[in-house]
Amino acid sequence: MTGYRAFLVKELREVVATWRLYVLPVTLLVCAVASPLLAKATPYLVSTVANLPLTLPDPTVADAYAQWTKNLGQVALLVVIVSFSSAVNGERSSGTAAMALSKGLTPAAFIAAKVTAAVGLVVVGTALATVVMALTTQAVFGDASWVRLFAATGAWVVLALWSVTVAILLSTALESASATAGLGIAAWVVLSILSAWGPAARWSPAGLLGAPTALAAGTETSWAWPLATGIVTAALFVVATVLVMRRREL
Amino acid sequence: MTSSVAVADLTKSYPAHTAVDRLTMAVPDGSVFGFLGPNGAGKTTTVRMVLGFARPTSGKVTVLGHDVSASTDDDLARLRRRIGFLPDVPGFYPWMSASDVLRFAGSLVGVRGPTLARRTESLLDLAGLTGVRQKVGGYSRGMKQRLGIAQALVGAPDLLVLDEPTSALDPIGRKGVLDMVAALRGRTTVFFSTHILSDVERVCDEVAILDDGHLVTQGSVDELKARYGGSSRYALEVTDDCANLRMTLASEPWVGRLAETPSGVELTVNDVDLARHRVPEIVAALGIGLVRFEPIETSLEDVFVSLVQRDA
Repeated sequence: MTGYRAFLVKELREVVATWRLYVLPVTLLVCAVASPLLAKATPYLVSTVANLPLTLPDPTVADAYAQWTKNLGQVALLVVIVSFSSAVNGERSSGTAAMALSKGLTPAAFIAAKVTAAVGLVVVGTALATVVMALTTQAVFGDASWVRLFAATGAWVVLALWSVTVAILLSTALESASATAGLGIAAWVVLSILSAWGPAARWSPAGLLGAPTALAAGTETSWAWPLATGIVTAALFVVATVLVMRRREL
Repeated sequence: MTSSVAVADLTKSYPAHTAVDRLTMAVPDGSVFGFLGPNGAGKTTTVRMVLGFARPTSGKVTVLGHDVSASTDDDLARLRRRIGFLPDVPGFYPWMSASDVLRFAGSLVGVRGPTLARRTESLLDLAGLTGVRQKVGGYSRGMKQRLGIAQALVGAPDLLVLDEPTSALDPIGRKGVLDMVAALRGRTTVFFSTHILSDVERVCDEVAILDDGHLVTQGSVDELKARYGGSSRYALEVTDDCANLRMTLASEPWVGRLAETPSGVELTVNDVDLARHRVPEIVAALGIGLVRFEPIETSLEDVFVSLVQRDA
C-alpha cells in the first residue's frame, strides 16, 4: 500500500478545501435541525393546509426521530451517492490519478485512501449532526432518548457506508460521473424495493433501509443480519474496486 | 552501453487499430533521447506502456532493469518512484498551490523533511513560480507545464519521461525547459517525446522516429542527417530570370530533384564534385550573375519529413 498515508492526507485536505466539506455535513445538519421542528409543526401545518378543524395528537420525540430517519434514508443517502460518484473517474479524467500513480502510489493505496476519507467524512459529519439533532429535539420537546437516536443513526451510517462503497466501485468502473450517480440511485431504488420483501429485509443489506426507523421507534427489529451482510458486502465492494482499478488502463 | 528503457517487439492493439506495432528500441543510460513522431504515431501509447499505465498486447518493456509487464503493484510503485513523468496534459488538483503540488508529489515519492523543503524551493524557482499565490486552478497552460516539469523532478529521478513538454510554452519558457533538459545530460536519462523537431535537434543525443506505430529509424541526430541527408542539397541564387537555368539543369544527368525558389533553385545532386564544377560553368554560359551556390545543411526536419513521407 505504497503512498497510502500521503494520499490520505491529500484526500482529507481536499475535503476541507473543496465543496465536499459543505454538501454532506451541511445536508445532515439541516436535517438535524429541521426534523424536530418539522415534527413539532406538522399538526399545525396539516390543519392550516387542510383548512379543517382537525384535532391531531400532540407530536412527540418519536415523531421527530421518524422525521430524522426518513430524511436520512432519502435526502442524505442521495447526497452521499451523488457526492462520491466522481471519486475515481473524476481523477482519471482530470489526469490527477495518472499523476499520483506515476509517483509510486499503488492502486490499492489509492482506493483505500479514498474509502478511508469517505468513511471519515460520513462518520464525523453524521456524529456531529446527530448531536445537533439530539440537542434540537431536547430544546423543542424538552426530552430526547439519545440511545435510540444513536442506535438508529448508527444503522443508517452502515447503510451510508455501504452506499459509499457502491458509489466508489461504480466510479472506478465507469468513465462518467453522471452514469455513476444514475446507477447508484438505481441501486438505492432496487434496495428500497427489496426492503419490502421479508426475506431480503431480514437477511440482506436491504434490511438496513428500515432498521433506522424501527430502532428509533424502539420496535423489535432483526438488524443483526442486515448489519453483518452490509459490512461484508461493503468490504467485498472495496476489494472489487481495487481489482477494477488495477485492471483499468490510464 | 546499458539502456534505461528497452522495448522489444512491443505491440498495442485496440479493436479498431494497432497503435504501436512491433516496436523495438533502446534508450541509452544518461542520454537525452528524442522520441519523434507526427500526431497519432503512437508516442503517448508507448509512453503509457513504458510507465506501466497500459498493458502491451505483446512484447516486452524493460525500464531501469525491471520488466514492467511482469512487475507486481509494489514493484511497479518502487520503479515509478525512480521515474519523473510529465504527461502531455498535466493534471493537478485545482485547489492546491504550486508549493502544495510539489510537497504532495515529494511525499508520494518518499522525499520528506528538510530535503523536501529545499527541493520544493529550488524547483519553484526553476519553474518561475516562486511567490505565486494563485491556486493551480487559475494557472495558464504554460504555468501548468512548468509546474509539471518541476513535479517530475521532485524525486531526483533516474529516468525523466517528458511527453510533449514544450508544446504549451512561449519561446522563453521553451528555452528554459530545453536548457534544463540539456543540463540533465549524463546525470538522468531523459525520454523526450515530441513532434517539435527543433527541440529535439537542440538537446537530444539520440533520436527514434515513430510513424503509424512503426519505428522508422533510430540513431544520433548527426547519424540520421548523414544517413538520410548527406550534403547533396544545394541552394543556387542568380541575378536574373532563371527559367533557362532550370531547363538546362533539368537536362543534366547528375541533377536529381529541382525546386524553384524566389531567387533561384534548390537542387539535389548525385555527383557533388561534378556539380561544383558544372554549376558555375552553366551559369556563366547562360550569361547570368551567380549570387550564391552553397550546400544546404540537412536539418532533422528534412530527415523527418523525408522518412515519414516515404513511409506514408
